[in-house]
Amino acid sequence: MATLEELQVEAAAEIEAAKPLFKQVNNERLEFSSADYDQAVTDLANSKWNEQQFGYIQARQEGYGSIADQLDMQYWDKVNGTNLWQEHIAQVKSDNPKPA
Amino acid sequence: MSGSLVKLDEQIVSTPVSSVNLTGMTSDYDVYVVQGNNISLDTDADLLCIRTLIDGTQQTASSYDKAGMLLKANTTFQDIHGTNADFWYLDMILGTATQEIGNFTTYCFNFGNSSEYSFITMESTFRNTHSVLQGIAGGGIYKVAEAHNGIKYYAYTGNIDTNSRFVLYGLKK
Repeated sequence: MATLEELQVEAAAEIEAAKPLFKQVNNERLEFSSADYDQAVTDLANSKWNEQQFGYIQARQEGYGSIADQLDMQYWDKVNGTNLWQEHIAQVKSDNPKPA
Repeated sequence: MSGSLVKLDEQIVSTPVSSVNLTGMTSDYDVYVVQGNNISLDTDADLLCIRTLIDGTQQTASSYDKAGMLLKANTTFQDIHGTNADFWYLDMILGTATQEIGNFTTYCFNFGNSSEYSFITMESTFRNTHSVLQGIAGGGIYKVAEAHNGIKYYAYTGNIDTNSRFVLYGLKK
């Protein structure tokens, strides 16, 4: 698990490699100012941090079946004595683990 | 005529750029409207983000709050909210496939008022990075009392792609 400082170093290297970066102002394509580049490094590092720390939340939300599907699984589990719903939830959680 | 929309700025991306700045907001108008059409990003699963501008400088205080509903065609709607971020993002996550584009309308309030917080509402429709049709209805507030004379739209990690169109209107008093 990378620290925020390590991710900032990584981000700085990636932004350096990606230069030149451009913004569009008044329909002119302008290269970033040094302040823009500094902010881009900060933003990229923060995005990496958020993905590392919290990306699993979004991934789990997308992985879970809809409420209707989950209720259907629970109904059939009750009828058939199966364990489909619990297995589904466990699978999504294990596919998208929470950072230690 | 009161209530008319006055076009102030139009930007069509001709070569991919990280950001598009729309400027020219003053106290001449109480409400500004930004229309985004045919918005596409060049990086898969990237996000369209927003910041306020003062004289072209993006404002990065951790004072951006947001709330809304993400309307999903394929499953249950999702409540989206967050506080104290350093930008607004309204979960318009686009991909790079042909149809994965978005359209949105942002209403901007109090941008010309230095003694009030600036806030926006945003509605959008888009095909997301999994080509699922989604929409957003929501808004955000920037909790710093200052005047902003522009708004910046930018891709979270990559570029805003060619033919994306942004138009700024003032709503005539």
